[in-house]
Amino acid sequence: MNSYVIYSKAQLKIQQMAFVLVALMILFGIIALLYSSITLRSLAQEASSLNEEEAKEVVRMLSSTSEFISSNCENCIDLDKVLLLKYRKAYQDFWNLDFLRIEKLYPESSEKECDLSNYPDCSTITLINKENFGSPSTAFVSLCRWEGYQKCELGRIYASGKSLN
Amino acid sequence: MREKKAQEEIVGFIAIVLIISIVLVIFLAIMLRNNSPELKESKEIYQFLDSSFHYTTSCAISYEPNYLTLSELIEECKEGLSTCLNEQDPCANAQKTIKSILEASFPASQNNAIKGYEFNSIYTLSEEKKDILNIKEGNCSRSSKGAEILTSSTPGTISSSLKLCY
Repeated sequence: MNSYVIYSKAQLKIQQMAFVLVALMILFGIIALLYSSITLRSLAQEASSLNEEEAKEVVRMLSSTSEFISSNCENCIDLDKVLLLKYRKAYQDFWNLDFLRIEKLYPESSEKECDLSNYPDCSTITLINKENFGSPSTAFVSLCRWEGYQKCELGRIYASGKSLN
Repeated sequence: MREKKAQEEIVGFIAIVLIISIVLVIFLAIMLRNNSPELKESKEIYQFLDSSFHYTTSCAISYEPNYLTLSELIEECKEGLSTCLNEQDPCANAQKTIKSILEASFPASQNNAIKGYEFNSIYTLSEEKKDILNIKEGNCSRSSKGAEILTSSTPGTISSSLKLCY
């Protein structure tokens, strides 16, 4: 035996309205989700770029330590001093780093690791180079040396290690 | 009577479509506003400017080897009173040096991440402003990072800024 449910006109209208409201809620929900995901992604990007900038700042602060600093200017690295540090094994664990390199950027010179025989006609001085050092943070620095007068060039310092993370 | 009911339904449907369209337009407007070109402050560029300004140039004014740093050379260019001992013009020397440093540090081209750059040096004394150097390379229409460095040049200040465009 078939049974029939008879809906009144008003009930049908309410049902129709409810469907429309649910559809609208779903639509607004999707829009809100999309917006929040975009906002969160940009926040994450901002946080990572802030971390990167902080690491750069820490790396640059290395150039102000007494082992590196040039006597005549702030944030300038004394390249003569750094070359001598390269041959002091005691400094290998001094900064608690896995990688530490200084590279001359401008004026460009032959791409060679500096040693006592080719200095200053070289481009890099690597002080620490342990295995699996990861991706190094880098900062611009001024590289100064004595040539009868103080001569400064443009360079970069690269450092990597757990103490920087 | 039936036709009138159908008309009412269509009006309701149009109203809903309109509401949704307005919401979508607002949402798109917010998204597009975020994508407009913007200039972000960059510590890396500040460090670059600071380090570059210590660079020893090939210009000496009084005697050799009293060579000027890049920041002193820009100041000498602003004064416009002296010539380098090697008979180069301080402004031309500064322009050439900055261009070479920028090319070595941030090579700009359409195939690289950096599409262009803009370097400006402006002397400011209270309300008065004077352009000292202006170096521009590549396309700078999209988002960019930049920094500004101030150097004292009695009685005013020299403001040098660099903008890298991506």
